[in-house]
Amino acid sequence: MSKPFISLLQREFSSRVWQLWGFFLAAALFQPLVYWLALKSVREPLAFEDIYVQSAAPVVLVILFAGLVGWMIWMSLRDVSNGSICTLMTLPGGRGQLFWSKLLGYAGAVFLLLAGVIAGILLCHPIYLSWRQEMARITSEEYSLTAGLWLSLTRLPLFRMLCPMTFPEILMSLLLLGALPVWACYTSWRIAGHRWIRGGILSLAAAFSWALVFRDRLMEPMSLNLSNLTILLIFTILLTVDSLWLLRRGDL
Amino acid sequence: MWNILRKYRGILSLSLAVIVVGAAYLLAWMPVLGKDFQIQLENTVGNPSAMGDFVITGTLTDGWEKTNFSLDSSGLSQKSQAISPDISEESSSFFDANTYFLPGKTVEEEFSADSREEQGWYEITKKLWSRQIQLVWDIQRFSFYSPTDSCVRINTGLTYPETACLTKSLVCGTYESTPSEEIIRENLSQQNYSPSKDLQDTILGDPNAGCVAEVNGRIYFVPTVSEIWEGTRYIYRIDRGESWAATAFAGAEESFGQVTPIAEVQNGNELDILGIYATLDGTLVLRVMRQGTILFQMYNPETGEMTGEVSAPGLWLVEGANFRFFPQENGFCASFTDYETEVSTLAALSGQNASWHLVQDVRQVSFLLEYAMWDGENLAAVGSKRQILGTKDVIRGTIWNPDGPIYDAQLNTIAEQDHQNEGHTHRFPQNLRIERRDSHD
Repeated sequence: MSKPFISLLQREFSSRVWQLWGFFLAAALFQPLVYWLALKSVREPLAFEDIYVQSAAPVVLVILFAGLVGWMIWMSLRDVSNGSICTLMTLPGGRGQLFWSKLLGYAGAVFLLLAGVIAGILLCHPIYLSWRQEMARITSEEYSLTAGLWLSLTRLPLFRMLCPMTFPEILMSLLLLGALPVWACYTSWRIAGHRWIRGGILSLAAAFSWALVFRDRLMEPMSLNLSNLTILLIFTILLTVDSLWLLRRGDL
Repeated sequence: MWNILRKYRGILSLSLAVIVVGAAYLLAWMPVLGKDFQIQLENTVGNPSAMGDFVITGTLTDGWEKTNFSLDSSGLSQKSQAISPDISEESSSFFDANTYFLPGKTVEEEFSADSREEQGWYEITKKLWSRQIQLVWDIQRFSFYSPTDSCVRINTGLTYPETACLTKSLVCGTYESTPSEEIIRENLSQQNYSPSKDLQDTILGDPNAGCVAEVNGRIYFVPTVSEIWEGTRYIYRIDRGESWAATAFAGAEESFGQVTPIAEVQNGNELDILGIYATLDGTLVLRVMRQGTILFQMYNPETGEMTGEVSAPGLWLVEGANFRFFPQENGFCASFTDYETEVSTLAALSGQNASWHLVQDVRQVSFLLEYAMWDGENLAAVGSKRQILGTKDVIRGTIWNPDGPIYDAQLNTIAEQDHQNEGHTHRFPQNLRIERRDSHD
């Protein structure tokens, strides 16, 4: 990697990493909090993943991921509004590296948030175990749990998306997570360039395709809808190519 | 220190993220490899070397993840993994069979019309007592994910010697007054007759799959009827079927498709025919009963010749016991399983050297038999017992030589299976099989 590219990458990721730590800590701490609150109202023995779904933890995830996408869009728009994009586009090494550095930086942000989410899930588990022990003490029943985390991570479709255990699922999760920074870059540049029709149509269509794949993973996790996955991949590539073309033309 | 953190904050952050994600996988996987989750081999009787070339395989799964295991003479091996999403839609087809009864010589007719709650609506009924009722057999083959379907209807030529009652009925309305016999007769003309219970009870076996067997892509069927029916029983080969759409409204008296009788069932008038099956090398096997004893008749589908008849005394369990057929080259295993008592019986037949015989005495086991196989001398069976004390399933395997059992093994999973502990999803044994070591490798 060339030095200008590394500098851009540092700008896009390293210089903003403290902000991303905010997302990480929010995911790692809010999930156990809402999980603990949900446990207070549970009076019957339920599995770890069943209580997670009933709690507000999935809502926390939606807010955090939506917030991160919003953050990515805001960061890109800020580059345009304060004029720094003009300077960045004149750096040696070609304009394409601006897109790739943003993409890698934002992908790192998504990965950091994902790690925070997984850390939050791991922190929920000992809370669940101590609640189970308390339930066993109160009801005088013998509860034993073996490999409970393994069973939870494989049985809940949401966990299978966040922590995939098979190669096809890893690829699908990578596609879902990787499409977010691409979409954020493209959408923000289209907004900055006031390209509402073409940019709007493509952005909305890509978002719809992403939502379909996300829905498939949640509702039918054990079957692969290849057509929807292919369409999302095509949209991701299309948005990437269009973003590079935008930068090349300077049409921001 | 702070300067190093500031300088490498990006890389350090990503590294921490990788560690967190890795820790999640590690924390999930480690207990899976522990003895509290793994399948345990317990309560073995006999020497494991008695397993010889037999390999018992199976899966413990809840539909989301699975533990595949393999037990042979060298011991137990297992591997746990998440189940991967599937894209393939396997083409699966199934058979459906129906019987129709055509009246013969009418003894008596009775017409009735019972009014319904809605004004002008009646349930009109025609009862017909008839002798020499004819039996028509209908076979349909349906396929998922492909538009093919195929139907055959044939008059078997069998007749019921006693007087039996056939009924047609229909609920219809817009009558100004009670419909007359003529109107009832006309409105019921398109309906098929339903048999009385006594007549229906003479149709035996699994109504959908037991009368059909497939050999080398060809379908054979036999009417599974009791001995009371008069006429010659044949094994038929289906040569051509019609599409369901073309035959959906055909009356019971209309035959369609093309079949060829390839063999006459020997002593058919003395037998209750219960089902037809096929071995891996293409021999057709009829399961029949004569005076309470299970018999197997073997037929060559090419020549129509009966190549053997073997009785299996002690194989029959109780009414309602589930029959299973396990085909092999040059033979097969057959079992009955009673789900109430979890007892199974097992017989192994060999057709080597053109002579059919029992490989060993009929065996009995105290578990739900899932699969069986013999290797020329020894016989192996695998099955399961349902939840013991509401906590776990166990898998059982047994090997016999001609003198008796030589090895018995029980596989337990220590993981508590009660739904209150593990959620509503239960891990259950699946795909229990026995293989020969050379085919397993």
